[in-house]
Amino acid sequence: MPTPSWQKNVEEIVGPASVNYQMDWLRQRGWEGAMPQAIAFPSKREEVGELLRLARAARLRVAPAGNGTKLRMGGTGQPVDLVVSLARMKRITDYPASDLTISVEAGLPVRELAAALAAERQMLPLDVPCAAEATIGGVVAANSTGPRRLACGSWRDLVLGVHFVTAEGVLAKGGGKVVKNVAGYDLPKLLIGSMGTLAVIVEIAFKALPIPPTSATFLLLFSNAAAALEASRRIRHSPLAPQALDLLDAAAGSLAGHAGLAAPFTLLVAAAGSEAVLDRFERELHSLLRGLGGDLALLRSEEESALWRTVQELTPTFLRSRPDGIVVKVSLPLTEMGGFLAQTQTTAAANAINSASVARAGSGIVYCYLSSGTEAGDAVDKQLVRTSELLLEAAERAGGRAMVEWCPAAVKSRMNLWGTPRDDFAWMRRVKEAMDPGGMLNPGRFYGGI
Amino acid sequence: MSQAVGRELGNIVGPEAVLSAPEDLMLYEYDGSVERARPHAVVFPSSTEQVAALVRWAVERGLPVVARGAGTGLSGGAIAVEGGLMIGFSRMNKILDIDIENQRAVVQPGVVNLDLSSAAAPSGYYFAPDPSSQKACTLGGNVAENAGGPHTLAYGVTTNHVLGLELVLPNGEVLHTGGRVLDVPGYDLTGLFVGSEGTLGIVTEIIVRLTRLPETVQTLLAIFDTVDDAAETVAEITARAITPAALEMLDQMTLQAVEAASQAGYPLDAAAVLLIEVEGLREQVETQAEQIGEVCQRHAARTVRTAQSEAERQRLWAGRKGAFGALGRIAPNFYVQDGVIPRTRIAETLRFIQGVGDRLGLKIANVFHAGDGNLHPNILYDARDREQNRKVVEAGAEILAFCVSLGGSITGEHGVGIEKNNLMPLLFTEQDLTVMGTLKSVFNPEGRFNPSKVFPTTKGCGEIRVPPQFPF
Repeated sequence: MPTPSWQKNVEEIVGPASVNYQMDWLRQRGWEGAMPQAIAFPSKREEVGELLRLARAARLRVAPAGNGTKLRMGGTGQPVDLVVSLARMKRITDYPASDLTISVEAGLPVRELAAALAAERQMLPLDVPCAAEATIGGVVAANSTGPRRLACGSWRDLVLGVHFVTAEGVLAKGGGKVVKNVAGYDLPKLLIGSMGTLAVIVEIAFKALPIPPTSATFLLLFSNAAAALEASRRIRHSPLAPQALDLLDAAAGSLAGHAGLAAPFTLLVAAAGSEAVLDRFERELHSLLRGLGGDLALLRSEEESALWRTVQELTPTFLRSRPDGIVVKVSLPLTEMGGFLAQTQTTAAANAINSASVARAGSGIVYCYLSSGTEAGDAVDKQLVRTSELLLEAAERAGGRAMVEWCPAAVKSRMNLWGTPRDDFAWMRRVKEAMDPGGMLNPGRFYGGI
Repeated sequence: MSQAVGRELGNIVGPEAVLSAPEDLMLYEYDGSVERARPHAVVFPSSTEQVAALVRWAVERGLPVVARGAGTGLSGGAIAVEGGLMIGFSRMNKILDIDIENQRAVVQPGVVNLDLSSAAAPSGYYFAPDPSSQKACTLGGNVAENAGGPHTLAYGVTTNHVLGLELVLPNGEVLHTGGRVLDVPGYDLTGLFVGSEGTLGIVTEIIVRLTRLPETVQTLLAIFDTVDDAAETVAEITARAITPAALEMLDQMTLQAVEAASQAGYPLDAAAVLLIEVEGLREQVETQAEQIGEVCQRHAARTVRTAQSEAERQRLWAGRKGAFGALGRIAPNFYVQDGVIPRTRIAETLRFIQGVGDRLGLKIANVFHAGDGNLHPNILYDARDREQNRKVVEAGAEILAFCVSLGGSITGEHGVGIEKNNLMPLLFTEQDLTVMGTLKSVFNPEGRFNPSKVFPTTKGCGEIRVPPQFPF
């Protein structure tokens, strides 16, 4: 294939074997829209810097990537010329295990990170969607989190420092490697969840957590949401402090394909600690449930991990079975979850849309999975879009925020993905313009089309 | 300051909320650091609108603006280095909302840290960050400095508990970031503003997370005959991932000062003690306390004592939190450093600090957050002695350079301010600082808010000015 001069330069930077012109890599990962000219796989951060300097000089648009599990996430975006995948940058650069800190390159797959940590009986809350393929850089850039964020915190609580390449191709860093550090502006906070629109993250330092000695998960089965949420409320106010507290409706349980999740509402309570702590959980849960009529089942060891794997993978499971479906992520005050869940069911039903919901009941985060009950088509798409937009409005009325996390390319440009912008949006745009003046990095993919 | 200017400011905040007489301004020329500088005027607004009007007023006159809470900061964050208008927040001190069901509180920046926890405590909740100055320091200052405290080992620092802000920007605009809920869409501007030391915006309202009070708290005092044994104990507690809620070290010089000041119950003859707190579920606390006791014994602890009553526990903590003040009994001045190191390297770092003190003939007392590796060497001196001043600066810079050489940081919780801004190049490259500068230029392009802070100035590295002597 004839290669324009900048592609030759890309080959010079990363080596010809590390440039891919066959776009199958992207197609297999659900890439939508116009294909870029090339995918480069740099092997070290200096190469990322050179690539971005080249891109800047040649006025190319660049999409940073890891293993490409989130290429469909976010806005439509403008066409890009070059994808820079960090999938080959997967070294653990520093792991002083006795200090409970770890520094890794951004392309490290989360399962490899989890394995390295587990060898030292340590962990991070890597119970994220697409855990078999996702890279840690992509997870942090998308602020992708799972059920255990309740006890472990989210990336803003665990990232100690970030090395990144700016849109000018300059290597820089923020934060550090020690567990406490307030020197300079907190650049890691700005980069977490920025979807590669401000800089390309190349290395991340984390605070690691100990793996608890034992764990157990209690399934609390309810016939209605109100009782389940009241149970969740009592647990939150109790001293128990579970690792995770997830509420699945029957449709989400069926999506998960787990026999134990067939009740109209199932509250999953993950407990961890010594056997004495687990006994205490069991006793307290029995007394907390008094008067709420919930049944209680207990899962341990492999049964327990298998259940949580299905819960953490609900989004990719849903998108595989319903590629035309929409995933709405909602953040609510805890007191508003019940009202919102009810509204989701009625709104979906009124528009002939199937809905499934999983609520991180200790965090106020709800994922709504919306799909048509019938064949795809323009009218169906309209109902899906209408339902999503009604949910975004309902979330905002309840004092929360919501966004469409995943939706088919066909409807993306026709709908509001991010809800009503606030007075901070103009300043976010200014931050983007200052960090990436040419709009080179992932243009249009982020909040409000940034 | 002219009478006309006083009138203009009075028109914005009310005449009773303007200070401009030299004897009044003198009280606002220092904070908890060693620096001094006098603002042109100090004003005490009572609303966000007044803050915005004051900022617009300062913009029109080209004056710098410096925000101030209780003035307990240790890096000069509230010093009006270039004069100008100082905005004090003592009148914006209302807790606007405590929402227990949603685990949130909304406060004005002048609320005292401990007052928020006290207000939430009857409902079983509190605000987790607990700086030693928590009886006086304000939440606005905590946000500006991203303040820490002993219990941040388990619960994280201020930024981990702040979910949203209302700020007045240097152009007079009011901005709202984050919110009451988690994961709001867009960039985490809240995370950028927390810890920006008043150089990007002035906080006028704060949304914080409230944390459930633990069911059980156990406080242990482990007494050691050598500093090395105490330090190795910290390393092993960390390595075994026992995660206490707090893990503090006090060395002999500190213990003697604390006991002289407050009779907290610390031994006078120990080389060092560890004050350790474990919290949580009863069953978990019992196990952790046992494990910690074992580790202490393995490292030759003379005794491990458990506080037998809430009163005894409170005395130990009062002694710890009052340690800085107690050091005033040993020397007229102290210069506290805030370096951070990996928690496995405490023993060698303390030996290095001792060596620096011996070589320069300076007494250095250590009282610090050992579990985080966040050191607080207090270099004791007499500020009237110019030679000692020079040595103190030299010792401080040497200690911080050593921390950085171990992969650590120059500040864990006190902030950079005007104290360590010229040490920033130890930690950050020109490229790193350029990115930070780019962000500063977005919000504070003219450097109107808190000038001369955080970023290196043209001054010689490590220089601190000798505090001016006063004629009384």
